[in-house]
Amino acid sequence: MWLEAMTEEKKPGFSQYNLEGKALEAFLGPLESNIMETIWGSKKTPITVREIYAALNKTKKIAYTTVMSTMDRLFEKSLLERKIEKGRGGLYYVYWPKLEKRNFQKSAVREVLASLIGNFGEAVTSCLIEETEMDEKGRTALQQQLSKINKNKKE
Amino acid sequence: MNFEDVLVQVFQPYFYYSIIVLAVSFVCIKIVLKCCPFIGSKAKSLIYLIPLVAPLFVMFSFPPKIVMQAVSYHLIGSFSIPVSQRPMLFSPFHLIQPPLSQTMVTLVALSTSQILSITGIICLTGLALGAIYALTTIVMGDSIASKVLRVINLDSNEYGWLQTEIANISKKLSISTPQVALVEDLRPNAFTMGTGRKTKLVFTIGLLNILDKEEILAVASHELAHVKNHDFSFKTISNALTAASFFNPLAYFAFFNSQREREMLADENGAKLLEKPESLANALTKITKALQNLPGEGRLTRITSNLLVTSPIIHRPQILSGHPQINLRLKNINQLTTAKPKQLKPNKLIVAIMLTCIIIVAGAATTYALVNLQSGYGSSKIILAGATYVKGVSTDSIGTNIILIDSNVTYPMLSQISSLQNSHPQIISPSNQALLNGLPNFNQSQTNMPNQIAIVYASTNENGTTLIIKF
Repeated sequence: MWLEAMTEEKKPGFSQYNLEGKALEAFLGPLESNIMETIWGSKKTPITVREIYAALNKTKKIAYTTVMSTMDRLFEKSLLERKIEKGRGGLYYVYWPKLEKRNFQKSAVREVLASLIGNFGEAVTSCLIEETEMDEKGRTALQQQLSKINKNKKE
Repeated sequence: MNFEDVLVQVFQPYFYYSIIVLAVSFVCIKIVLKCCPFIGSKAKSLIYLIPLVAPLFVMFSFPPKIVMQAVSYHLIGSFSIPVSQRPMLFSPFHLIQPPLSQTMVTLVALSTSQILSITGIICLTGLALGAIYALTTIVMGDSIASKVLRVINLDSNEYGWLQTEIANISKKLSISTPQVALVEDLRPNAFTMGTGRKTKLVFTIGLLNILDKEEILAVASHELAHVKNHDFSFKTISNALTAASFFNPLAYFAFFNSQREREMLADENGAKLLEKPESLANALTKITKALQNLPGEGRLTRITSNLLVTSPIIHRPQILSGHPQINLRLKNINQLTTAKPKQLKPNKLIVAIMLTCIIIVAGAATTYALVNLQSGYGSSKIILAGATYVKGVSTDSIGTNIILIDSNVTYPMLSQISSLQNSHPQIISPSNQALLNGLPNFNQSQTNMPNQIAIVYASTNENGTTLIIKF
């Protein structure tokens, strides 16, 4: 099930949320997340479509043009940045991630939450508290976060 | 290396004949083709190969050698003889100067030696380069080019419409459908590589991005026309022939002219396959415009493209480019639908034939002159006291070699040279052995020298001292 993001302004990250998706696939399509993971995991930055294509083909056969158009889409979504570089084989695009993996995750979660809160307000926060109550670790983190917010407000 | 050494090297027949034959045939062909517009591109491309093939026949007739024989001349000694004895001594010789009252005679030792023939090595290198290039390209040219240019084969489902159209055109042309491939390059271009079933039709991403479907198809038709015309083999052979004459700049002109005609031919044949021939012209215009704003390809890519890849759709403008200028190509494509067939103009043809005859005669005369000059220099390496005194060499009608030395060379100088070099000369007299035995300073009994000895007549006038040497 896909939920379209409500925000109209294009921000780095994603534009959809998949409730059934695991990890990055919650925010991105399977190939998109695969490519992002490959780019984040790669020692070489920036990287070409051909190099990603070669890396992905080691595990599963995939067409070059599919990788190319997916990376182009990730660029359109502002998840990747790119520039033209001159090298062996001619002029080609080289890509690099706009955000580090950790920052990307934070940004994506924040956008989902902002969207949910904007639409459903209190229901979201109460659900959040209910969900975290079941989890000792989450509850502690939430308490710490709340006391920090209160402290900041008093000051 | 002095001037005589250079001449001896240059006047080896395999070297200078091949240069002259290539130059003369290229110029003649250029003139004739200019005056015969009715000759088609295919015929022209083949005719332009004649200047490249001709040197091979020369080298077949006069096989290049790594070493050549050089003859060294060493002054042994000189002496004067009285006028009364002169007729006896000179009787077997052909005199070119009136004898003086006191005539100087000089003895010269000839020795032969093997020296490296630089021009022979150059010619053999060219032949080897051509053979190695042809072999490498035929056996693994496509795999080398694929690696260097980073060619990616398309799956059957990628650009499905294009692959289907290419299969249809291939069927029309009765050729096996080539593998369609991509390169990441953002510069718009397309090319074919390999031959037979290994043929690949490669598009750059840049080309697929900027052209619409009709134009991409037009480019594909152009490239498939190259495949139909066997241009991979044609280019391989042309490159190999050019490599064989790599030392002759005109070889490159002949090669590029020939390649231009193949491009024109592919344009014509490709455009004929299209419903709208103007699509090819549009594609070429778009590609040219796009390329103007992009940097050129790297050296490795350019070399690979030139040597191992057949005919990219377009090349950057270069002085020596296998691709004709874009305007000529556009005009050629437009003429397919609009122009009347080109007709023979008798006046132009007559002028062309006359010019060709003149050039052939001039070429033959030059060759003849060089052959004569070569007979003076070609078979011998002159070392006459460092060769600094030698002003010229020629051979007369009875095979007597005449060396003209500087008039500053005086008898005492020659004597000095003789005293340094003379050991045990052997005198071979063509006429009067008794007389020679009586000559001052020299005696047959003293001889023990292994080299061939010649006897020399010398006469001096304002032009210098003429030595007549009988071999």
